[in-house]
Amino acid sequence: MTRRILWTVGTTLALSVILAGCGSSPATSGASPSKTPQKLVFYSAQGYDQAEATAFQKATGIQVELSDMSTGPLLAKVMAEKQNPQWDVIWFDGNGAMASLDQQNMLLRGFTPSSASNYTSLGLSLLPPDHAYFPTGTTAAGAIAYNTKLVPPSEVPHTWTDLLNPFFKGAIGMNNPAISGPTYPLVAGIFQQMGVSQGMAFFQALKKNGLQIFATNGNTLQALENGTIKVAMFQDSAELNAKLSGASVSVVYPSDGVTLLPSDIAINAKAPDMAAAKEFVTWVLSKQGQKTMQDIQAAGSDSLFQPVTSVIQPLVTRPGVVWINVNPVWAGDHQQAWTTWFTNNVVR
Amino acid sequence: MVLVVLPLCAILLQSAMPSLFGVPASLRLSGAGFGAMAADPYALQSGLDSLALGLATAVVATALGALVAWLLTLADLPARRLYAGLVWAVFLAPSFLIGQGWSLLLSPGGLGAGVVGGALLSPVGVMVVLSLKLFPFATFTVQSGLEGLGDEVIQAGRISGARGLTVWRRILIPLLLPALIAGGLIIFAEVLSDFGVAATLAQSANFPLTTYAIYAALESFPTNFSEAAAMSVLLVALVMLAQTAQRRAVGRRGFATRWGGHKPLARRLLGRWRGTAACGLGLLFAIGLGVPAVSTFLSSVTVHMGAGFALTNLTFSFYQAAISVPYGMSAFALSLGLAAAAASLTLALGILQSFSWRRQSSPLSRLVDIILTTSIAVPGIVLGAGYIFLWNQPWLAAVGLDLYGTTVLLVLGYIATGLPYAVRLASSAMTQLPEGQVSAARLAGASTRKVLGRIVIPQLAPTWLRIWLLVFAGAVFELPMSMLLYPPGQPTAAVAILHQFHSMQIGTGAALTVLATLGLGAVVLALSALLARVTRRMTPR
Repeated sequence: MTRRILWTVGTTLALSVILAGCGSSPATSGASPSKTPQKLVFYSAQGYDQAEATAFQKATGIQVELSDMSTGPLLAKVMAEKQNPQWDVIWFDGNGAMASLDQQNMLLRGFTPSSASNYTSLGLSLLPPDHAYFPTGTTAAGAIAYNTKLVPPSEVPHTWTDLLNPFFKGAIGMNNPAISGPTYPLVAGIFQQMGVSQGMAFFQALKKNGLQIFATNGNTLQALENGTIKVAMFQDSAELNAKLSGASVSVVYPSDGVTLLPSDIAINAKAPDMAAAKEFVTWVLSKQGQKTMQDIQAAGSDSLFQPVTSVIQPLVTRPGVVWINVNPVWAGDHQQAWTTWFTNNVVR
Repeated sequence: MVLVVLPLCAILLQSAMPSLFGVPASLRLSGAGFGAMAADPYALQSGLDSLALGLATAVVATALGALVAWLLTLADLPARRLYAGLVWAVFLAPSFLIGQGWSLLLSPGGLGAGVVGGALLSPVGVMVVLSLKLFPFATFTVQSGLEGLGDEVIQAGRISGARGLTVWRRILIPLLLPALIAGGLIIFAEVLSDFGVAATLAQSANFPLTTYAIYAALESFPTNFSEAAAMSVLLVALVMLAQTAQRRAVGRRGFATRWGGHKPLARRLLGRWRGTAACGLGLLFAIGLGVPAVSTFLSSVTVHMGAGFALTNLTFSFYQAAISVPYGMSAFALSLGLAAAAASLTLALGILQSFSWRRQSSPLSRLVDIILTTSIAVPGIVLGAGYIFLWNQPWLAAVGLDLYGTTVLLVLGYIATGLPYAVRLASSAMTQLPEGQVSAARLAGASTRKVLGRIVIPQLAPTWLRIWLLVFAGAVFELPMSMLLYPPGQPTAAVAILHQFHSMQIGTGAALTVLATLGLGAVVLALSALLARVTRRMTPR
């Protein structure tokens, strides 16, 4: 019996060792803090990350190893690695999680890349005082998109509350904040704008007016394009992408303001290759790095961000946009409670 | 065991010891994880939903699977080999693709949004979709049970005057009960751990399931590992309970139905039902396999999903994009290689296991069986996090075992997910090997090598190939674990496809999916053909 256990364990161990020996990527020799940048380990949830990695490698000769995944798994991976972090740089949308990582002393503070001088006032407003993370661009967590075939000019909404117009009864859509990443910031932004209880009342009124909840940007967009709904609110880069690709969709920025959803990049406080990490962040905020983010062929709708630096022009203009900067710590503290509230009171 | 048990422990223990892998690490006990779960109405609701869905799907899919098994084994169905192949196609089709296909179909503007969308976007719809995907598990267990029965029992029943349904009620179902329950149990565990459908259809139907609640706990920030672990413990407990129930129901009867020499089963005539049965089965595959396949294909050739079908709305440009995107084809090639390695090693382990436990059911083998079946119910993303906790220990680098971030760990992960099936299938095939044949050969003076080469291998090779294909196909499109574990810079097929869907390049993502599925299908077909040839040559008939 014992022999059998030993045998099983032994075989498996032997197997792992053999495997380790012939693995295609040889084990890296620990985290030797070297002065010359060699290899950047880069975790990202951005559409343009691959283009950015390739261009940076070409420009600097520093090897980039990219792990691309959605924000949820990315954060889970970073947290699971807490004891022995492998990453140099992380890059994703939304400053709530970044602020929380900063609170846990996981991000490098006090670094100022030379290219930070490119920031516009919008960029500077999104930069935390301790420089733990850097905005690289921003979208609106939610703007209003309508089907131009179904909504005559007289009925086009101009504020959030215009969506309560009976004309839209049963034909309004948005994403589920429990599923879609950018949707919680949209909800939190409306709560900050209107006040929490007013905001809750607004979503309940929308529900009375026949609000339909879809899973993600893609689903809501499809419903809008095929006329299942006349009007929708979701991330503006996806709305603008549909408009640009020729769908009968138009975008309105409500005059009462839209929530900023910045893309933030940050350096690991214990980055295995600190020099490479610093060089990369500096490069991303440079003209070349910023231009690469706008490679729409490679990156898809994420390229339609609003720049936060003066070195590039936006691919699409956002006429009349009023930005609202939601306090990330405040929004993060309430995320679970408000998402649950939304699930129980609006989705069901 | 190291592959399966340790990562499971690494994550499950965190339900009670949240700082096990913290900075600094401690063994401090805390009820916070379970507390958070108990206080979270979403978690509780999703637990109940998952249990109900698991039970309902297990019953429906097992019934469906048994019916298909009966038609394939006992009835004079036309085009039987085609249907048998289709059962395998459903079985091997990665659930991620099926879930994605259905949600492309049911998303507003998709092909079936208006017609069936409303009906399928409900708990019952979720159950139907899962049953259509999972019934092959029951088909296979029942089929192997039926093949072992021998025609004598049915003839005996008929001679005693039993007719159609009575034969079923009094003879077949009681004899097949262990096979039915074994199939049902695996289906139950599969439903509990399913993420593809939970994240797509079930969410769109506002039907929260535990796997999704686990994902939400991991996604909320700061990541709540201890709540995710507590919910995984819940899933594990449910499967353990189900296994206990299985042992109660089956008792000591065991699974083997093969008893040496017997008459091969005669096929029953379906008479006027023949056409109906064939059509019904055809419809089953058309829905279960054809619908997701067609909807994925249409998404890959349509410019604007919302704009309906018109010649101007068709394009093949997405295929061009799919071929040229960085990490499209190369990711698929990497996945093929990793999956082949994982499948071969898993098969080797399964075979070794089955040889070492032949003929006896020791407490250890039972324990391994319980643990392996239980591990089916643990969602891949949780297992993946467990792998990170375990294999990213700073001291492992000192002994040269820092496997995290290498393809090796990914292969180990695939082995761990494939092992439950490999061990089960390999050892059940082994126990069904007629004991008499081996003893007879030995008495006749055959060497071990000869016994293996002439008796054991020819009879077991088809099962072994099935195991290989099963693990291979599962690993090629494995998503949740790959997402967490893939080496930076070397995405796998599913990771690369998902990336396209996330950046709203749905056409390109669908085109990649179609290409990869075709590639996988070609590999599987080629290997099956090869095996058919080899076994024909080896079987001395």
